[in-house]
Amino acid sequence: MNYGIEAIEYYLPEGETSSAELAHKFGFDQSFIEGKVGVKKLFLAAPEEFSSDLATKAVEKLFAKDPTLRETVDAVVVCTQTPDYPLPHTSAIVHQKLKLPSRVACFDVSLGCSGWVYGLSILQGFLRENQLSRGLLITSETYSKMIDPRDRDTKVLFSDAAAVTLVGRNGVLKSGRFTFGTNGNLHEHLIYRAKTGSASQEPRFLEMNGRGIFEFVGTEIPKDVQACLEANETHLDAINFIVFHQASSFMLETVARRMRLKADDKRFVKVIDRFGNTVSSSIPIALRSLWDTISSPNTKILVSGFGVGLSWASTILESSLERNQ
Amino acid sequence: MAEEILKKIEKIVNEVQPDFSGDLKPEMNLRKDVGLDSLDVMSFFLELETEFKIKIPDSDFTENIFVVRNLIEYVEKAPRVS
Repeated sequence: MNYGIEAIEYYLPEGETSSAELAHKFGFDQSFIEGKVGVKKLFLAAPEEFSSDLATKAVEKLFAKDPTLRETVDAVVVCTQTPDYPLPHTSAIVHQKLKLPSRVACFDVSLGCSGWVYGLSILQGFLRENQLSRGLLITSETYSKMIDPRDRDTKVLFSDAAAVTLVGRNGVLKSGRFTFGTNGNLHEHLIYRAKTGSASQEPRFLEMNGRGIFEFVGTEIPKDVQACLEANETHLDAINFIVFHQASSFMLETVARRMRLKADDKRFVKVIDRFGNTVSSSIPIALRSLWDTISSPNTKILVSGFGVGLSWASTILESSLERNQ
Repeated sequence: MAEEILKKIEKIVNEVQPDFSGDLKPEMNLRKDVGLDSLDVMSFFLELETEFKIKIPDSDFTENIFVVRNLIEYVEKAPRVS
């Protein structure tokens, strides 16, 4: 059975901040934030709003369109690195909030910006192996709670959000072969820890080595994209849309340039201006934003996620004839 | 050799900062005179490392390296990596 993506929904918290506010607060030119970082607004979870809350609201949007899902879903995978608690797993909390049946399998995956692509492969494999019908891949992060309020580099980049991807036997978008990778030597480039470097001390904040991540993305991702194209026995000219993790406008343009794509190549999807860097939700949000276009028959979409770890994963999605949304 | 490196650096400058016009001079500073912002700088050095097959550690990112003359000298001396 060839599983695939049946539908995608997302939820953005009500709290917002604009590029103008960020520019004023952190001493940037607004044109730099909008032009280079690519952000016009960011979404911020409320102090008492956690990953399970964002996740639940995203799923409720999905359930509102098809109420039967609440009773028919077989598995829930939550990809998050900002869980409500170190334990239990956030998917169990989501299970409670959604009032799902006790037969539903729930587990979490700890990955960042590559998480949606990994999660898609994991969930499809889990459903297939166990002959289950449908599962939810939820990506949910509240990075705003991890960021040092004085850290201007990360404050202007990350946005809180959740997305849910319904995976089942009636998929509109079906994945091809996946490519994966990790460079654990670079794990300190994006890390949540105390300033002293100790793993046990508080307070902890998100630390980002911008240059290190930039070099990793600029060198590794074009290679992985090529490997993914070869694994799927296709080539870039046959791809209709390229949906990368929406890291920053600058990062996306760098990868495009190093892939020898033209600056105005319309296949290169960029929605960071509307949502910010929503970590593992950025790819599903981008796909949802383009759903009517990308779910047209015979559309091929290259997706690639990269980040924390540092890790990466890519695949090619191809639309089928059925339309579910 | 230095002239050849300068030409290659100029080509990279034009790629990452299309707004820069004119000839790149050894006495120029990449930030002050060429106008590379903090993100352009990352892009510039990534392309530079790729072009010359060198690796510039964070510790070498002093103000010195942003002067084109010093950068040329650095590139000449830097060990090539695979």
